[in-house]
Amino acid sequence: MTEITIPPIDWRVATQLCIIFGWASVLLIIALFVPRSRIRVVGYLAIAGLVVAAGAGIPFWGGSAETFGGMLRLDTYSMMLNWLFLAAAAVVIAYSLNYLPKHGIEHGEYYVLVLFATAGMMLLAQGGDLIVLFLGLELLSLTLYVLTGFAYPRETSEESGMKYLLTGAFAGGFIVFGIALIYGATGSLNLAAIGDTLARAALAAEDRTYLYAGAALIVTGFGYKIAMAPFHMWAPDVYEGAPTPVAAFLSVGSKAAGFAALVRFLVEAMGSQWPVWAPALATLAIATLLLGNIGALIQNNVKRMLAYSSVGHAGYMLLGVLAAGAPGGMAGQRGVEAVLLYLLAYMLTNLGAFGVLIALEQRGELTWDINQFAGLWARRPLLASAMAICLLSLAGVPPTAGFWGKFYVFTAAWQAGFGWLTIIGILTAAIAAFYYVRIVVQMFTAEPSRETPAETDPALRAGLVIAIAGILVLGFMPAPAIDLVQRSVLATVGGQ
Amino acid sequence: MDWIIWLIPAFPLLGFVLNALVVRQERQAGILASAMVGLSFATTIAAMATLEGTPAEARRLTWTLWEWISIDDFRVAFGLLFDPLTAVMALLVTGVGGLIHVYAIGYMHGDARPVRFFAYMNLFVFAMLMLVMADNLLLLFLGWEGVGLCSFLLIGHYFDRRTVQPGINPSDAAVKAFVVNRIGDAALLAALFAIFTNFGTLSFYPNPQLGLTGYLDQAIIVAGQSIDFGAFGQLPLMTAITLLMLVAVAGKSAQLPLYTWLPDAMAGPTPVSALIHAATMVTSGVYLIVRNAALFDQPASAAPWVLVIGVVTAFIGATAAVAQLDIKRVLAYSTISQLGFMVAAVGMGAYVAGMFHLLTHGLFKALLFLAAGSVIHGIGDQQDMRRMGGLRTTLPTTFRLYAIGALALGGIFPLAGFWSKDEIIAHAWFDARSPLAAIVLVLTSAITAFYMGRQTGMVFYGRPRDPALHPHESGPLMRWPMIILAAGAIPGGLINFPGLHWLNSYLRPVLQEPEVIYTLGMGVLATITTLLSAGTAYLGWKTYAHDLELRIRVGKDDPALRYLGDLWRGMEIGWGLDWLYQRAFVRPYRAAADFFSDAFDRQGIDGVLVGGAARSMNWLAGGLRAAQTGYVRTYALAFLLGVIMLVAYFTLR
Repeated sequence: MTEITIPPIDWRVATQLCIIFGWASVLLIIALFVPRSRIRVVGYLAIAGLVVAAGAGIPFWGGSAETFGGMLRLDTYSMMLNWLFLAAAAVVIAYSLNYLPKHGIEHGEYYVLVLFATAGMMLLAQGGDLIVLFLGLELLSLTLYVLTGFAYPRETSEESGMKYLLTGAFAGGFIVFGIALIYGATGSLNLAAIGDTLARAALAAEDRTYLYAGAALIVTGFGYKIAMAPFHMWAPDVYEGAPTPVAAFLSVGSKAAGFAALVRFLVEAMGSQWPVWAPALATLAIATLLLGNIGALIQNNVKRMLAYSSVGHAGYMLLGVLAAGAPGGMAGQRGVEAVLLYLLAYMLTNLGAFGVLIALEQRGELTWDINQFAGLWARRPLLASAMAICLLSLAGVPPTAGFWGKFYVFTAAWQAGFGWLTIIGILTAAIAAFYYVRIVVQMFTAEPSRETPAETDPALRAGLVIAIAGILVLGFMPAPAIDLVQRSVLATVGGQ
Repeated sequence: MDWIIWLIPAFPLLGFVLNALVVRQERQAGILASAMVGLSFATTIAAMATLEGTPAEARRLTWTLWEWISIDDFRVAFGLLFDPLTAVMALLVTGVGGLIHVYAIGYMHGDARPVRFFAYMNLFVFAMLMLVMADNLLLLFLGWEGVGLCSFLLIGHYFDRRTVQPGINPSDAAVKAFVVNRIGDAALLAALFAIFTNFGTLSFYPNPQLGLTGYLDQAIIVAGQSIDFGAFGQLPLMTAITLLMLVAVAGKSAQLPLYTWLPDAMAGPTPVSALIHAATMVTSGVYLIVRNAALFDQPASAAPWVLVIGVVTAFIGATAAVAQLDIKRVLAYSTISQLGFMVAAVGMGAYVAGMFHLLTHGLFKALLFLAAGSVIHGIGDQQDMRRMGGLRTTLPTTFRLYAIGALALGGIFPLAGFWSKDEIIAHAWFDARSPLAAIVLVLTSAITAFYMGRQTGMVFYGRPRDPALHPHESGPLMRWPMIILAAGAIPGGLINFPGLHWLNSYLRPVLQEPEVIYTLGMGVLATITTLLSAGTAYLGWKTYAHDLELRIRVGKDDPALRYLGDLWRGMEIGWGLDWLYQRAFVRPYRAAADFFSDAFDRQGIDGVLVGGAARSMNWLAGGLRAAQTGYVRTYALAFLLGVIMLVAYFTLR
């Protein structure tokens, strides 16, 4: 009988995860004892936990380690993403502090759920094993279903929560099936091990078919999470119905986590099969770019427009993923960097845009009509400027963060040999500019048809200032951010 | 101290900047602009004094501010040059320019946009000074384009009026001047390219500060080369360069076949006509040839063509001036004709004579324009000579000044025009051995005297024909500049008086032209010319002040039409060149432009590409919206289809 040895656990790898999980559990209990009128204290505590977790990561920056038998990874890539998730969660909570009481849905669980969702995202970024990735995905999804339907008893919120749950369960099923197929083909769930097996080309033809079918299903599942066409159709409905801070979280955090896992899977496990998956993913990227941007074109509902626009942005990031898998070292690294830089820019920008949306949102009014932006410049010049900066950044106009994101992605795709794909990307960016600028025009030139009061509070303002400052700093001085993403290396095989 | 030459253009530039950005009041703008040109004039005098201290074999001041362009071998200095040739030009530009600025304070009083006017006037003086002071051809070209721009801006000063007298649209006139000048500008650019490729430099003279060579003293070295046009044969390099320069001159100095813009340029305010379209800008073509005399002196140069163009233009312009009914158009055609004299002179190699006439003409033509402006101003903005008549009693000062200008222009002894014009004619007869040119020029001179006599008679003699006019004399701000110009136009011949030839000596360091030895034959020729001119002047005056006076009617044709018929009509329309261009170029071009604008722009780009793209996108988006039903089952179906396709691709690949 062989002796079971438990390998030593490197807790450093799981430090940030443990902090968030632990703090979320503690907060859940604390929330029980906080009086209803003071419930926002839980929000402050949640932000404090996020800050501590972010700080706890700093000592580990630069290295690469794995633990739990390679199930959990900590490399500079996942560290960078962890910080993105933590920052996004903090801003979303800041946005929610006044949003929740204003809409009468203030419950302590909200903040706890955001923390759990953040932990799920971090698992997706750090997972080195398909089971861990699935675990992270489910943790993220389940909390987000609840958060989406959080605006009880508002029907649209309920509806969107339900839709999200149904389609999410549908997608989750495919992922599990895909994992099973891959295990069947390779006998392993570890990404590095799968990659190793494939690289040695030691698979029988039959196994190979199972493997590819499984890979297709897993791409489907993560594609659902990042709102890749044709698995994107839930996004506009869910974004529209979800409480706006949750929609912001969905559009930023959940998408980033999906990309984190997709890149890990495609590069680490399927890297050697790039010639196989690249054409398929390229086709999906084109579909995503076109459907997202054209769909946004005729939306008069700004929240839906941002949803479609987030689909389009997934298309741009897919260009980076395609480049990330490209053989030949440098091109691949460029692609990973491009995805990270784009995620950073996109996160700042979308958080800013949703922040303005929150400021304009009235209790019980759910139109988000473009007319509400008419004449905003005359009424609230700062708010209008913030929105304009965000929209220009989304459109990729220099000197904003969005420009550098697009620039980097297009450069990476071009260098990886996706010339025609880059051209389609640029063309759709031109289409996208139309619907972004439409709102800018509304804000600066149109006469307001109806006065929409805009309210901001200190927490919302702080979140907006962070987002706008980030957009501009990144736009004017991209060098530090580019430097940061260039250090964010995906440690390919087993912490080498 | 050489750097002070930069102050000469700097003052008007400062005036422009201040007027454009700071000044808001009419009076301040006028005073500022005039003061800046005055300072520039004073600096020019100071620079001339400094110039006297330099040795005769290197009589020039240069100062390079910085290296403008440095791309491999293509190096151009941002530097100014001040030699005797530049000095006389700068003196004319700032001296006459300053007087016209002062005059304009009075003339433009009550105008809708006086500050803008003075700003542009200063900008013009700046550009003109850059043109004459540039130490290389590229910087000269900058000034050349600058004066063209200012000309455009100032001709269109009344852009808000549909028409100004005599029925010209100011905006159209401005555009016409600009477009016609572009032909010449393009030719100058081509000449510039040819010079750079063959000489490797654009500097006129060696530039010690940057170590550049000059192209003018290398003319001999490359004189024998040719440019190969392949199937079109070969053209000697010198012919090509000088021919291109001649086209540039034809544009800027209103010579055949490009002179048609100048009569229309009279749509600008009268001070503009005096400064830009008589005294300075239009003479820059003559300056260009004189500056590049080293090239035109080469045997293969296009100098004979320059002579032909000049002589023919002089004759054509003079004949057209005879039949004009607008007081400023007479002077405009007269300017074309007189520029023809100058171009003919430089075409013969008589550069000093050309410069001499340029200077005297600058004085008396400016005087004539200002006096014409005084008439126009005095009778309530009327330019039609048929409405005038008998103004010598009501505008006595203006009349006397106008008469001085007319006699000077007519070449009557002993006024300035006589001396300078006679020198050109004498050169044609005796030195160039071109009797035909000389005879045509003498004839032109006689016609010149005739139309000036006619104009003086029509405007100042006879009976007042329009009772609606209430003439009043101009104020001192307008009168004094004219008096000073008249005081210059009377003894102006002294600057190159036979036997003294000061101008000749002064320009010798630049042009090395020998002194003309005066002979008895020259005296005889001059006597014949001036007697002929005096006769025709009297004839013109008598005809229009007495014989035909009663038949001049407002709104009716000139009485001479009865005697000359179609010939007169031809002269009236400037020999129909405008008519020809309108049909040969403008209308076909417009038609083609309309076609392309409609077929390509409106229907193709706007309609199919822009509109079509927008429509197709909207259509697509509408389709997508229909697919977004809101039902989860639809979404799941799309999802499933996607999965099936993806799995199929991966497994069946």
